[in-house]
Amino acid sequence: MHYTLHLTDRCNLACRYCYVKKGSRDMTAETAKRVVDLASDGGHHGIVFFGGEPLLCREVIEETVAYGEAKQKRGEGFFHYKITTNGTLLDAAFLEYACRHEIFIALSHDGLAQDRCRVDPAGNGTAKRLEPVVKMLLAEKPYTPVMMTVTPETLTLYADSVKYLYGLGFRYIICSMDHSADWREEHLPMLKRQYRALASFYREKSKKEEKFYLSPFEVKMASHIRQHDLKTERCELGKKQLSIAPDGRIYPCVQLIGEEYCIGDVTNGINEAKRQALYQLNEQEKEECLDCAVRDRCNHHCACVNKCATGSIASLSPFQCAHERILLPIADSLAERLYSERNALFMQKQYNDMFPLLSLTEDRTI
Amino acid sequence: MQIEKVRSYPTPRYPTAVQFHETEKITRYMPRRWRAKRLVGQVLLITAVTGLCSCTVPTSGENAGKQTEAVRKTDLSVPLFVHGEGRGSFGCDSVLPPVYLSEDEAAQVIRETAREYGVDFSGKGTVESRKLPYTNVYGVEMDDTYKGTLTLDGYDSVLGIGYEYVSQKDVSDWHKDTNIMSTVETFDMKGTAERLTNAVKNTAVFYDPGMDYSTMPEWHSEDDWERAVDEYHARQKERMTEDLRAQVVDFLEWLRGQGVI
Repeated sequence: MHYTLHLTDRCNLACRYCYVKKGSRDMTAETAKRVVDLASDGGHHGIVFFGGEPLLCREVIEETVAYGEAKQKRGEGFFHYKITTNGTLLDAAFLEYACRHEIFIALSHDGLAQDRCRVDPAGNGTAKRLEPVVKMLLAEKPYTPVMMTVTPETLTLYADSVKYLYGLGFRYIICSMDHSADWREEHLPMLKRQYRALASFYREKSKKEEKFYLSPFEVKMASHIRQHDLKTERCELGKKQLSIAPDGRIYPCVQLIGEEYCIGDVTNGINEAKRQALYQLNEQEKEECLDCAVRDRCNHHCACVNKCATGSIASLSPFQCAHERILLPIADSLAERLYSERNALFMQKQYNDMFPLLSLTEDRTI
Repeated sequence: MQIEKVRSYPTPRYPTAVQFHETEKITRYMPRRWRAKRLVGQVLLITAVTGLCSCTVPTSGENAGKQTEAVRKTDLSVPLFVHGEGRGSFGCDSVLPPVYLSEDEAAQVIRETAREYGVDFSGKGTVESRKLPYTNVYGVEMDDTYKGTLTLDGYDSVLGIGYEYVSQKDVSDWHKDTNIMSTVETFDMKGTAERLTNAVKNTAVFYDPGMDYSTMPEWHSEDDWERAVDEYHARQKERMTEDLRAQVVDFLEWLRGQGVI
């Protein structure tokens, strides 16, 4: 289980597509510790520091990690930590702290669209500010994933932004569409062009045997290669991830923070009946998808995507449907090509469960 | 925008993890960058022997057999093996006489080298494609293609694999007219080979490695010029032959890596 702690509503940026309702609420260290208590069942769990901008609350992070480490020493649980940050407050001291305590850092960066979308409250772009941060971060943590959001306004920059981020040194690029945006039919041809350009780029890197993880293609390839696993890994609302608001209320997803989705709080625990009801609602197969040929490979079960796009987790996002219909054949064609070329890196990455270990061994061996 | 059901979708022509591990060994696929690091090979071997590499999820359903069949029918896409710049030109800007390897000269090198690996390219074969490349020798960037049948330069009927050598003559023959003409003719054998490689299956594409302009010997008189040109020609041919042989050897080693030979 992953426990995502919304440490604060506050943020030092004003990204154009941000879905977080800005406020002044901060999570107290006590609330954060109660979350660690909730997760202390002897198993392995992730504690994710999220926001707003979580680096506005460093003290709470440090107290929470210390608390979790103490519990781990007593055998009450195993915790791994992750922080998702916009990077503008990331400094050498925190990076050193993150390395020492094995806190995984994920950076939000929109590539060439950074200055257009990820701006400060005065509207100034942040790309320049992030340049030294990225260098410092990748020097210490070369496997840092970067998370990029694509909007209709930045769609034409999609492929070039991925290339730009690759050029900066990122090798794990997670791309998300802004599903709350006004996507229209006329955007679709451009979306297809961008994915085709990305497929060429991916193939080029694969041919050179350069490591590269690009989430849209990896996810779609995996939906064929690991069919069974993927079905069990899809969105299981409230069962694999819980989000905790600054006031300690618990929600089933980071984007479903709001009264109707509250399933408990850190003091009284989880309301199982409510969690189960939401899970069942989300699990029901949508009628429109019943005899769709790619139903099992599609992300239509993602509750937050449907909520963002339609206002309800029970309704399907037409853009998501169109997106999947565009992406799937391009990803399959790319995989077919790499398979027919017997590309060794592709084979290892897709068909060897031990690939992460082998890849790490390679990186650590001179 | 509307929700649209996908009525039918072809079974992808790459295997699921279960299908892969039924028919293939992951240890056969060793990225080049891993080969230089012995420890990586050892870890791969240990994880393979202990079964950690494999996917253990059982497969079921009526499509399982169909999918395996679809994958087995997958054709080989042979990569292009690059040795030589693969370009040459003739015209007012060209200061040295161009040297090319003819189809016959290339066939001798390719077939001899292939025989050493047990591959017999003496047969005849064709390949069909919807994207055979047009070329242009006047420097116009050309990405036009056509649907047609290419008669291969050699074919091994046992393996079902052929080869096509992209010569200067091929680039000239596949030229598509545009309104632009020039006094310089440029022949991009490598670029054409790259495009052809992407258009055909079960076919190795080799190309004329082209000249190396830097090796023209000095000359001091008109007689000396002829000697210098002859020497230049001989040296170029020798180097080009070696580059072509390297392309063929790379292909044959790759073919061996696929378990085809």
